[in-house]
Amino acid sequence: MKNNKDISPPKWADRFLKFYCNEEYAEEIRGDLHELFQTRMRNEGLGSAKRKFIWDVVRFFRWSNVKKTKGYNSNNTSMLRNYFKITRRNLFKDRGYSILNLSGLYIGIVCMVLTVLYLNYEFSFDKELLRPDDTFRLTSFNTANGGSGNQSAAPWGPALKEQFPEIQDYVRIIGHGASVFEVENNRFYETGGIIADASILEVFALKLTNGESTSALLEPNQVVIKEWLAEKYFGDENPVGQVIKIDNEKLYTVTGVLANDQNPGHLTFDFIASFDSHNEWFKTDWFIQNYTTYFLLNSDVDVKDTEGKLTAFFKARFESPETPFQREIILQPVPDIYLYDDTAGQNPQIGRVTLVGVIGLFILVIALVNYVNLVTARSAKRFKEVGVRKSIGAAKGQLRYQFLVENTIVCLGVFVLAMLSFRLFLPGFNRLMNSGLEFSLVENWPLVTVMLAITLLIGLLSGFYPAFVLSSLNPVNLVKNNTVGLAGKGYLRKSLTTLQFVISIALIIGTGLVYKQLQYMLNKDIGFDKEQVVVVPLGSTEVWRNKNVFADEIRAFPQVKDVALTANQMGGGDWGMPFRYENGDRPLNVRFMSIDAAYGKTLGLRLIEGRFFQEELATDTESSFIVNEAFLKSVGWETGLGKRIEMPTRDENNPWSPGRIVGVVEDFNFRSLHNQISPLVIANKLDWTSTLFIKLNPGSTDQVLEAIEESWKATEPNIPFGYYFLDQMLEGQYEAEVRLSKVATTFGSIAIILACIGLFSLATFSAEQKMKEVSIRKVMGASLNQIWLLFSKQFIIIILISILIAIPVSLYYLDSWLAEFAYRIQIVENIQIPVIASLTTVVVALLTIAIQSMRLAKSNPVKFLRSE
Amino acid sequence: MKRNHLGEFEELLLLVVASLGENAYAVSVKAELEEKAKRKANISAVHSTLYRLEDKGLLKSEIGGATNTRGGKSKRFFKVTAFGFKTLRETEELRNTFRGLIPELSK
Repeated sequence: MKNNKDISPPKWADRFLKFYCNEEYAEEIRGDLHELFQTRMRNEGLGSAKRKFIWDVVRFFRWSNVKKTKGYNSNNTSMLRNYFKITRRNLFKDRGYSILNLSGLYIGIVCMVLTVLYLNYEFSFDKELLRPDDTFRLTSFNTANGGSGNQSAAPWGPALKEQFPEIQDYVRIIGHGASVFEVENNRFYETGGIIADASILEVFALKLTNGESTSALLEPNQVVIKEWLAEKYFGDENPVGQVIKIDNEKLYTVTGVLANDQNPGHLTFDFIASFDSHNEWFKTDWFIQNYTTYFLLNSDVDVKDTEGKLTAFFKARFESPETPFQREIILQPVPDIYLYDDTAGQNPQIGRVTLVGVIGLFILVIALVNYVNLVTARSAKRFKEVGVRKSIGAAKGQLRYQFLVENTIVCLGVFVLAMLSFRLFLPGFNRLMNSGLEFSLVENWPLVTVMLAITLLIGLLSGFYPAFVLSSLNPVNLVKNNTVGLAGKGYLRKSLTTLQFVISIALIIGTGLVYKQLQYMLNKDIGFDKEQVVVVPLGSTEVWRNKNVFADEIRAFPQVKDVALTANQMGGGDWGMPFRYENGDRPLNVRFMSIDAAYGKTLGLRLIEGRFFQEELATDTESSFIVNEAFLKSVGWETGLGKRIEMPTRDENNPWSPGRIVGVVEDFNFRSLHNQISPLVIANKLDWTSTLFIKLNPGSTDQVLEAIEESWKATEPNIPFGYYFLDQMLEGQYEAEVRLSKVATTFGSIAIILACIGLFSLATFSAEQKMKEVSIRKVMGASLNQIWLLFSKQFIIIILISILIAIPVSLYYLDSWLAEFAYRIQIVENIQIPVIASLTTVVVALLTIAIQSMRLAKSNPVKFLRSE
Repeated sequence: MKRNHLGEFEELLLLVVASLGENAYAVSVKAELEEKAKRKANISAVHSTLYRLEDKGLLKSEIGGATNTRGGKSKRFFKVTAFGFKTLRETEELRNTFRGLIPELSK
């Protein structure tokens, strides 16, 4: 027996053959194969026979031999075919509605795809580092004032690595500053560079297309540049080994080329110069924090523990009886920086990203609701079909299956269309979001899979309601077209429509208030005159070395009203510094600026008491200060005139340099309106000034600028003249709000359009339902107005409920959004916005249903009653 | 007019089946093919072709002849139909017509 088993062909192959093979042929085919097997076994041996048997089984697996579905199976497929057919017929029967419905769904899916793409991009920052989980940025948290900072001093990195075995490597980064690059006769201003340790290439996993990442930045005056920069300067030549002249003095050797297309990260740069390329005095200073330091920790290190050790290290190093060390070192994970960073006082990006996600979700929900509403509304037209199906024996399950399949197919179709066409919307979306999203179906297949899954879910969800409601109705009522059973079931549709309008109204209110806040910020009196002011940063140019001469030269132009020199550009160029003050037991951390005598007049600052600096008074540069109101408030003085304050120096023997307050200036917003005005001390240190503020007379701006450029060229022929307008720069600070306003407007419009489509379909459905009722009323003598009111009432109720929900909800969230601003509009003062939003919605909604209500009111009652 | 064209392999199989007489079933056809025509053919290809010829009406078949070596499974014996013979003849005639027109081939 055992023997017999061994010489039989492989059981599984035989069973497989039996499984697939058409019964008509199975007998003979199996017989033939067995016979061949026996023959082969005798001639070629068992192994070969078995192999060939398996091969034959495989070869027999062809269409003509495969079991054709029969009986239950074949019925199943033909029913499926029938579902397809009915789906198609239904879609084509009412083309108008189908188009309306599908375009709504299409908009929703396109929005969903764009949102998913955007979120995916935003969440991809700094995820492709060498070891993302072990890479941290050194930041500190100030336990005294709750602020935090991410700057550090240059010697910290090496010292900490020396001290702590947990630290595997460090990367220090500082901006390169604007520099003129010169190669042969090509000369350009390059502003996007950084100076960094060689380890940046490895730790941040930067992609080099040329050069060695291990050795590229080890020596002084080496630089790696982006591909596009290399092309700009060297064309087709190999850039590695080439020399670039920097600012007419230094020579950089190109040691590598960075791919243009790096993984997204919070660091952006066009070129990286090696760390020893710069020799600023603060490079060895332990206190001046001009750098950002990143650490690569060893894999198994406890981060909390390390933070504690670092804090203790700095405490030991910095604490003195006079200045207690009130900081905690925090190691911020680098992959979190882009989205969650709040160390420099900004609002983390995640807020904006979440907002886009939420709005995208809203749109999708609205579109989905539309689709469900329309499908259910239309499915009422299919009562007869369902009734007939039920009468001839369709089970509930089959009907559900039918509707689910139908909706899934339709959704998939729209999805495919959206996938093929959404690239048309990508450029517009990129402009709106200021993003650079790209998409390819092949490369982004994981995303496509996710989106496909979402779409399938939509299909199933939207088929759910008709599937379950229709399938459970009594077939007799259905065939009789007796819709009584469904009359009370409009609640779902109505509440979904309400939800749509809640979202739409909320978005409109949001749009309005964001716009108001924006206008408020752009037009608020910020305490100085930003109009017609040209800002010229001097950098380290010849002009800077002769800044006073240059300023006088410009001042002589007839179109120029005033010229001032300052060390600090507006909108965040101020410095931080501790100041001691009369009767104060501890220094006060204040913001600090340094200006010349003409500054106050040029910017139109307003004095509360005292005077501005005066050129004739030599003592002003030494020992005179101007403070702002906020300073007085925070030290608790009624008046500041003549009060003594002390400024820190770099002289260890004489660390404080005293002076007197000569003037108090009215608070002005030297930073954006996101920030409260901090205490400010202004000094008259002319040596530190590096920026020119030129106030122009109204009129021929272009000519003046040309004239100024001429003067610049006369003094500094090698470096191009660069300038900006103060008002434009300050407006740029509110770019995020401008963008938000645009996003809200765009999506708000889409939402309201979708909601109107939904309302329209609901109205259509309702009109059909009410035809008989209205006809009877007309026969009884109801007037046009009465009928119109009767019909519109239900929708007006929906809108009113939406308004009642939307206003408090949206105002609550907008209030918390506005709380981010130090200077904000009050909602109570802008109560007209929700009112206008509500009225607009009511009007638009009434217009939308007008067509249906007119049709209803004007219909001929005979048409609908004669069949009774 | 619709004509049944015979493929080369189809014609060959038709001839083999005709020559085998009573004992024409897939395995014997395959063996004969290998022996006389020195052609390797997979058994599945033989099957498909035989079924196709049957569909075209050139062959007819009946079930029978289960043996032990076949694991007790019966065979399907094929026979050439009258239409099959007619088609073979027509094919032959058509060829001869052309052969007669070609001096290099006609003796």
